[in-house]
Amino acid sequence: MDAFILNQLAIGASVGMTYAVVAIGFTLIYRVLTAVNFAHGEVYTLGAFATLIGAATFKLPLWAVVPLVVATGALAGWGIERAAFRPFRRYADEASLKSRAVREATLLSSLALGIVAREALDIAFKGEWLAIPQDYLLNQPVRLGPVGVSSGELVIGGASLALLAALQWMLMRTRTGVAIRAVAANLVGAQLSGIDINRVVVAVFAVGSVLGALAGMVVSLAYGSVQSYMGLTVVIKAFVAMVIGGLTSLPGAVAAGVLIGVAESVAGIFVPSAWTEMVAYVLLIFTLLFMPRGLFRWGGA
Amino acid sequence: MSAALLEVRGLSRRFAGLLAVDEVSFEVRRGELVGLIGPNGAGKTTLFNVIAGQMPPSAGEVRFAGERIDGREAGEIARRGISRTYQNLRVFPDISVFDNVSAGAAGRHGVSLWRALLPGLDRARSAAIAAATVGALERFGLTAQADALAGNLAYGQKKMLEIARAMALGPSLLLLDEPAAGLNTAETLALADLVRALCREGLTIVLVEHDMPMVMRICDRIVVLDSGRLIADGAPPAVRADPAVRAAYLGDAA
Amino acid sequence: MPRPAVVLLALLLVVVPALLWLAGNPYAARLAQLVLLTVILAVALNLLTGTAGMLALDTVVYFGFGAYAAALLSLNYGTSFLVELVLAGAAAALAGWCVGVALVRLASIFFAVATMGLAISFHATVLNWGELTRGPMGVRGIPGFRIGEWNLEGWAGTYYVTALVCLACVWVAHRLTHSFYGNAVRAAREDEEVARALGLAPRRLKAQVYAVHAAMMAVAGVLYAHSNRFIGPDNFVLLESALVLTAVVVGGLGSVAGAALGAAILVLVPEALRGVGHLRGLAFGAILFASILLLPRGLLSEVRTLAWMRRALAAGGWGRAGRRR
Ligand SMILES: Nc1ncnc2c1ncn2[C@@H]1O[C@H](COP(=O)(O)OP(=O)(O)OP(=O)(O)O)[C@@H](O)[C@H]1O
Ligand SMILES: [Mg+2]
Repeated sequence: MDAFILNQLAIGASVGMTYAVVAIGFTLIYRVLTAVNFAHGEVYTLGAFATLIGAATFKLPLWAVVPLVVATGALAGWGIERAAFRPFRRYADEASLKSRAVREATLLSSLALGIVAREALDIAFKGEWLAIPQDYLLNQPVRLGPVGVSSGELVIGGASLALLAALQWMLMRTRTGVAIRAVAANLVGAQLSGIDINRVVVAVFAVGSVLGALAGMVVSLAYGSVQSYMGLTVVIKAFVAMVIGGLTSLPGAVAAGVLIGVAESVAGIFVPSAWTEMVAYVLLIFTLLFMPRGLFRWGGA
Repeated sequence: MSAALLEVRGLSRRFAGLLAVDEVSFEVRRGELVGLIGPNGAGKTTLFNVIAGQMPPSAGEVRFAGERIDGREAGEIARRGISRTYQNLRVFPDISVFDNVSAGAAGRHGVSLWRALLPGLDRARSAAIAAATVGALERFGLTAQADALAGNLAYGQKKMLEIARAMALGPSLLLLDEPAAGLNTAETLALADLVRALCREGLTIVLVEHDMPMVMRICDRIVVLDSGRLIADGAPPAVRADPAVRAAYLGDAA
Repeated sequence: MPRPAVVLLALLLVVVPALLWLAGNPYAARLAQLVLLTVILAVALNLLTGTAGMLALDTVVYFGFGAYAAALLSLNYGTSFLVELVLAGAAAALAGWCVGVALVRLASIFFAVATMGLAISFHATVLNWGELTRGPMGVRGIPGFRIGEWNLEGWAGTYYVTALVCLACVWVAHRLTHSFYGNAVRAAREDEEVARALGLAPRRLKAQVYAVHAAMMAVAGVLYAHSNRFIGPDNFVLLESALVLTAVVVGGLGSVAGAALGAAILVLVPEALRGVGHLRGLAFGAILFASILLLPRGLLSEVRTLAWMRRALAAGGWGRAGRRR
């Protein structure tokens, strides 16, 4: 195959991995609450801004930026849950946790919170694209046989895989992970066996948001700049990944995220790059209308 | 025209591995009040869902007034004259009692965008819908609550509201799914009278109910389901004496 | 004529213009016109999101379509705005019907995201299809309102054109909301399956409402293009959809009067706090958030306004007199 096409595929897969990591946050929340967190994109943006502040303002070494971003993500997740979701969860039974009224109220409240965060960042940083200092950037060219990519794209792919592995480990091996899976599988049963639903929900938001923030960090390091609206398009693609992946399936969301990334970069071969944005929406509408249960029907986990 | 208003022939409904309704056949004649009983999970609600067109059958047929209706769209079946209530209350909680009932009347007389936009065109139909709504509200003792949010009604009133809404559709066959569940003794007695009265006025009714004394007292005939199969069909005393029925209920209780 | 109609006509066609004339302030006139324009958007979105319960973020799609249609038609072919109102409204209704039929089957959040995707795609299209839309530069020099030789470009003409169209849209919303048609739509919103079992056609009703809402948005877009005289992609970003949604939520989902009130508040309050224009998005986000949390039924709740309208309407049919009391 043509090296150019291979290149596009590699870039697409790496971008797709970031969609996948962001999509995980959606999927986890959807599994537990059947709700969607519309402020999730801003968590990604916050991760990128935390990276910028750590690098440019505090001049922290790269290894120290990571905990900063993790803390930002966890805090953001906790805050979103507290402000936009908890107030509507007055009764902790399944019917009210998953009722339509609650779903729609949290949709609006998280949307509103996302707008507030986005606009606040926009005002604070004057809406400009801000550059990450040169020496933090991951943009050395790397050759893998016929394929030339940047180190950033490799790191995105590698880091995403590592995050997904860590998440899998967390869900399978830790107490919190087991509780999350129990609640996702059977909310009432989990409640009866003494699991504190509120804590699990907070954990889900924190974990999903840490992943989202780290995705924002890696992308900002790979592409070198951050902006207050950067989360908006990513979050929709992540949502599309969740839908195509079958709503509740983590492997499905990951596969769909990569699929979207690859589809975009392949489309970039044929149409001007400005139009590749539309690929995800076309996929979204197509999936919602013709495959409302998603492309992939995976089992549990 | 045959005397049977509703004919169910070899009707089955399968969920994954489970046969919830298993080759059930029975008839309901015009003006009859038929009790449909059976232990929990017998398939009574599923049978209603299939008859009302809210679920396609896996096999078999349903005839209403002589015509096949199985597999038809729920809205069409409703407009042909089958109306139902729900075991787990499904009133529209965030609109008023009046609006709840008027939805049934609107379904009967039809609404259209164009008529709504052109004043004058809608007047006769609006008046008919209003009259049907007001009539149903009065009949079921909800006039005083007309402007209240349906979600704020007391439980017994919500049950009445469901029946009022179903009746506003002007059905010839009414399917009642456990209307007495959760009602106190006085309310249950009043309900029994009401159901009987509706029947006397010519309405055909199928009543699913766990309150055996009520069913035995008011029904003309009783059909018994167990694990999806029809195990008895006859007059109340005969059904009460039927060993198969006793076994089904005792097995259920054990 | 029912009392509320008389009051509304007098207010919009006599009282407000008189006050504007007395004030003699072109800025106030422009603001009043902007309020009426936003009222159209809010009333249209309220039909869809309030009455039919479909949370949509695609306001800018049909609004933008109307605006671009008006701008390009009038600049390229010299059409009159009256023709554009009809053309854009009809085209949007048709497009809205097709999109609506496809989208109404989606459950709440999926509908919201699909419409969000539409809004972002629309913005990308306007931005990138430079040959047609003149891309990021936008379209300048759009003529003002004219009917033949009759020049309506002044504040009074602009105001009256907007007010009349706004009244027409409010009237349509009123007919669809305060009628048994509205009751049927509300039933479809509450529980599609039950509504269907009552002989209604919930999906058809929702698609119809979607089409009507699209037409109203497009009509507002036509007015916007001719009154602003300039349009660009930045006027049609997702945030603008969220602003209209905020107006509807603050006013009270499902209440026509509430939507109008919400629109007025959201246009006038930021103007009152002058010099903080850049805080607009932030303020609206905060208002939306506070409203959902503290006042989920809005300033004028649906139940209350419906009960009030039923009392106010004349005898027969939907109005209270139809109920023998
Ligand atoms: N939508 C569904 N999907 C899968 N299984 C179903 C569904 N609806 C009903 N069932 C199953 O079909 C069987 C019959 O249920 P149904 O609700 O018809 O019983 P029922 O006679 O109405 O019982 P009850 O007296 O408790 O109301 C049950 O085992 C139930 O679990
Ligand atoms: Mg049942």
